[in-house]
Amino acid sequence: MRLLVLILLITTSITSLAGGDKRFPVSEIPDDLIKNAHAVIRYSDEEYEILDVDKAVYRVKQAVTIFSEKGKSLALVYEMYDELSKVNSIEAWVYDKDGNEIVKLRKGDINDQSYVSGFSLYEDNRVKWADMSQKQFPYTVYSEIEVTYDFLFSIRPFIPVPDENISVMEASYTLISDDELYPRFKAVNFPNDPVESVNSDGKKVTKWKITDLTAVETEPYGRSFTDKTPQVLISPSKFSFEGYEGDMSTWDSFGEWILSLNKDRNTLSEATKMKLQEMTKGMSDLEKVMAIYDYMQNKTRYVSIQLGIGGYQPFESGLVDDVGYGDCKALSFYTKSMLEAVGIPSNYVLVYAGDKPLPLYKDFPAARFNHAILAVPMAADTVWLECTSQTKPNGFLGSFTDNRDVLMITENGARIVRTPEYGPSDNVQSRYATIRIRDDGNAEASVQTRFKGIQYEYGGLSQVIHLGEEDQKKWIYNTSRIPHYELRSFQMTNHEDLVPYADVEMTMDLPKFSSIGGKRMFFEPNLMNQWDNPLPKTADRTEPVKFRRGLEESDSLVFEFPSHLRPEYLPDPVIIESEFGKYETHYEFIQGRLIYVRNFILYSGEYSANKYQDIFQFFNEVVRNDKKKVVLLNGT
Amino acid sequence: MRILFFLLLLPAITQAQQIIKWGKYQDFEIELKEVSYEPEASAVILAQVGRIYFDRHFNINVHTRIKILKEDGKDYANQSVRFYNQDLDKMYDVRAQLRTPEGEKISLDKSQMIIAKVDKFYSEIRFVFPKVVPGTIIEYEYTYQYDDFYYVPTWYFQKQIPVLFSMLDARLPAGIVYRVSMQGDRLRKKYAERDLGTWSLVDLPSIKDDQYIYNIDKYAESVSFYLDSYEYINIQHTYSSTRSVEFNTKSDIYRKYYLHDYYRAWLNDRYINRMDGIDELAGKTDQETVQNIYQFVQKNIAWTGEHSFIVKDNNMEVIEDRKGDSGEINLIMRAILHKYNIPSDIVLVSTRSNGFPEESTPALNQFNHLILNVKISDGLLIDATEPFYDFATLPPKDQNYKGLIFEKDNPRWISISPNLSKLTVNYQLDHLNELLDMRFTATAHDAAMLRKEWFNKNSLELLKPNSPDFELDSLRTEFSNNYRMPVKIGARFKCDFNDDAETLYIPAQLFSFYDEMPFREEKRLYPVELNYPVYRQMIGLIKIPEGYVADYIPRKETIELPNGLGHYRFDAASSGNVIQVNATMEIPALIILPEYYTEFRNMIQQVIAKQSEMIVLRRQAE
Repeated sequence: MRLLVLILLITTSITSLAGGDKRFPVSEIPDDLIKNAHAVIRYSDEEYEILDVDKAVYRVKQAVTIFSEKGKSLALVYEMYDELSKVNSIEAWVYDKDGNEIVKLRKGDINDQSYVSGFSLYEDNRVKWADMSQKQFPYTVYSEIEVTYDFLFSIRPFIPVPDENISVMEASYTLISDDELYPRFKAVNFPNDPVESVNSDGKKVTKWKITDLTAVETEPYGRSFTDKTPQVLISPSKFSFEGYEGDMSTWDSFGEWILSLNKDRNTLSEATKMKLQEMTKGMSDLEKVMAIYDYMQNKTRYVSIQLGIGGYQPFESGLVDDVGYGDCKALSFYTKSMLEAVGIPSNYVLVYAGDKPLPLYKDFPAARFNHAILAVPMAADTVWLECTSQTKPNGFLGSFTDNRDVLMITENGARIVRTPEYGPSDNVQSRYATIRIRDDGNAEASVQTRFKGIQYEYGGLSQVIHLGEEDQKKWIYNTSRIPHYELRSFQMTNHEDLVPYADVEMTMDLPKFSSIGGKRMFFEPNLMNQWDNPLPKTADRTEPVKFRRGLEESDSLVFEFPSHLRPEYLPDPVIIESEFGKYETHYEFIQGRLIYVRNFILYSGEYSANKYQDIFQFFNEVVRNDKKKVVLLNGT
Repeated sequence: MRILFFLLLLPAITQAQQIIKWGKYQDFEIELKEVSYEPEASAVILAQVGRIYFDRHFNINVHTRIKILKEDGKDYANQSVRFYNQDLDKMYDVRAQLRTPEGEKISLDKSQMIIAKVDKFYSEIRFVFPKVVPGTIIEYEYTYQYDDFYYVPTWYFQKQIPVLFSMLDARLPAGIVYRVSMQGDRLRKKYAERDLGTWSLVDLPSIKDDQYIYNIDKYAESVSFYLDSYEYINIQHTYSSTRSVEFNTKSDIYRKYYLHDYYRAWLNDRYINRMDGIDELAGKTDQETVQNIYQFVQKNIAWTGEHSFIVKDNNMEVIEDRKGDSGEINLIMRAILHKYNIPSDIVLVSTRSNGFPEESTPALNQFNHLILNVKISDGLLIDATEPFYDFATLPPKDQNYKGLIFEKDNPRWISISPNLSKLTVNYQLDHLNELLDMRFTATAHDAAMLRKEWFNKNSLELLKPNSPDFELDSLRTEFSNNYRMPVKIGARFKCDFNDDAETLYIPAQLFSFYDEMPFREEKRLYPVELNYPVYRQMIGLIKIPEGYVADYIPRKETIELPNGLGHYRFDAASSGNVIQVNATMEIPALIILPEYYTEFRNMIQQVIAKQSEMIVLRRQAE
């Protein structure tokens, strides 16, 4: 018992000692930085020191005050690593709003977890992390992390603002290296110049510092977060990556390095080459490309490979030919090797795939890619091949890699080129339907819809079209926005082309399609294509509105009903023309049938913020008109 | 062919083992192009055989043989096995090979069977099969060795793809008694109650996730094992003694977790007293105190997202870290209640994703969560893990019918009655081309959902009137800090009727109960598991403008589902120059069994149809 008292006494005294040493009290945060902020970066001090052509150390000390549950992600103290990098230390503390220490991270509470992106053959990406989040807001998480890298290929950029709704009191980044290995850098949206100096080791030091950044918010269809926040990109000149030496100071020299990785990796066997030549005998060049691509799709499947240089260097093509799997690099390179075997040159292309492509800067070569594809120069046009899909139509890139700057690696260096854009005339959804309404309000419909271009991917259609009946049915249920129907039969037909399309035909029962009110019948003629306004109602839009892709929808629906019914009310025809798009509907009663035609085009483009209300209104009108009802009256 | 196969199986295990012999393929396996009872399957498990045996350790040997049938089935060649990597556990005798459609056999080498550490607890073996095309047969086998005899894994006969043959042979050591629980009609029909031995089934359909099922595995044919008793040999003393410990009656569980004071240290308020504000929670009534404590726990201790009723020695760490799993959160709540002299009992429950607890034969590992029965008024079940809820509403995950309560000298099953969530809409339409005011009230889960949506998105999506002639103008929200109070929302809509028209059409139900049919399938094999019981009401008053008369008012309608599963009532009537519309729908059930599905779905269909009916006003002849 005495011992217990003693321990208690000691604990109390330590607590009181700690109480004297207050850190990061919330009262020090200026009011304007609290506005709109889920968290405030109180202080962030990053340091990146280059030790050798393949060695660097990164240290960061950071204090973040978290104001609400929504800022919680910043309470996660973490660091990724892999075989070529090592997390030397992670330390973290939590302070309450007055600056009293409440938690200190115990070593045993640091999780070490694999961070794989899917089924993977070689992948050693891992993360060490600790969740420091608290329930009592606000609180401050202070952390110190040190990492060493065994490569200089990519250097951590300075991104002072990690996300929206986060303000920054002070953030700095110090880059240290001797002259020979000094990297290049590019400041984007950065308000001030760095300060340069020489440290005691005689190394060159560049320090960027930024203070008092208020929290920013993104707006729907507005500028992306990275487009409007400050950052400094850093990229090496000379570097070494697992023994592969390179120079990134020009795109050409970067291209050379990629070529050096791919060099001598075309190991297709003579037997395979002969087989391919035999297979494509007498074909035109384009036919050969298509045949090789089909062959690759049938023979392979995608398996992720992310290990050291394996993150950048493809498998040997002979190996892919043998095992029948590979990642984007391996499958692209394999396809390139096979095309070569039939006498067709092609270029390996690096790309940043996905919804939010990172910009490529002509004047700032840097390794900002996450995917590889293939470009085959043809007489008429370039054919683009996405080699990781077993089902993608030949030459169709789709939304994953369309309309963006990419890096094409050629024998004569590297070039920034743009992938094709799919415009409104490509992205077409067209529909024909006949709906037969019976006296009791029940109806049956047969509907044919064609989904083309980017619409071909609608709801995952481009994948579903290759799956079984159950999955296709699920797709129909998920995408057909009819309040209630019973699917009777359906059929999906795939049409592969440079701009592919899919036809979906279905017949269905529409129980209680039109509601009966005494001698009247009501229904909404826009059966399954009612538009939702994607923009929120707001009076204070600050940014331009940008639609990356245009589209077109055309619907022609014919309604048949018993002859004693006559329209009592048909909505007026509508034509709305605007610079953003065009919307048109009309209703016609001909020979006892009602014909409803709707056409909607949305252009891609960027419009200034003061147009926001106009766009919003345009969409609202579309929404309103899409919901209009028709009233039929019993004429007898 | 299949019949022959089936007959061969029946005799016993030795022959069954011969049926899938490593690298020996039967003709029908080689020739198989599609699964007769599931022709669209893109891959099929030809056979999966598991053997559990004891040789100073527990060993689980699993041999799986899969055939890729279609192009989109290639990814089924990406097989991985996750295993617990602690202490002495190990994976051994791992091998894999494939047979190409041409008949070539290829064994995987070490570089194609990657062992990766997933995290502190788990590792994973990934088999990367080369040359996979439709027609390829892959097979792999491993043995996992471990020492924890509390745990024998459940064997699932059904998988995401069809299974032609699945067999488990369990030979467990003498001295340890397991209770075997079979799930699924086919198993129960084929095998009577039995302890251990061999189970096998053929031609099993695939079983896939379903949006209306919390945990589809609970509907798969499977065999589970629960430790019943074991002999304990005391080797620390010179003599050895044996005794039996049982875990599978409610009094055993009660004895272990209550009488043996498993949770007692958690009542201690030593660490609790260090929390700021802990002494300021007393309310005017017990109920108010409970509410204060509930809010205090929610504000101070974060839930890690894990469910458990197994806890650490005391609550020090949870209070220091300010976070805990579900059991720890509720035990902190209990300790604070205790400090304020409000007694509460522990209730072991199983969350809905974990499955239903079996009342007749409770087993400890059927539970995964712990809540409280607070002894105010008639007793109040409380779970403090989910934010946005009020203390008197149990989150949907807990609404799983039953819990095992540890009441002193009276451990027993109690029923957990779900909380009804009410959502009511009131509006009054006085002038057709002016503004419409709507009032909206939500309680229980509905209120929690709204709080969450409002907190995360600062907007509410539910307020779309059922007519293009109304547009949202302004919104007034009332989110009381006291979560016992309903969420109230006032909305104002601009309406835009042409009041010169000969005829006016006004939706009888201005706000929909459903935007679209949520239940697309006409028939279901499995029940529909609903999140929580709902009550929906919409009352509208529509003033007939001067110069108009009601030409048509939608008819009254009543639907009653059998067994009190739900009802729908619609009534519209005019009185003077006012039309009153009253629509209510109540679904108190949590589970709709397949046999009631059609009726249930018909009701929803009727609700959707009814909500688009129109009131027609006609200009009065002058």
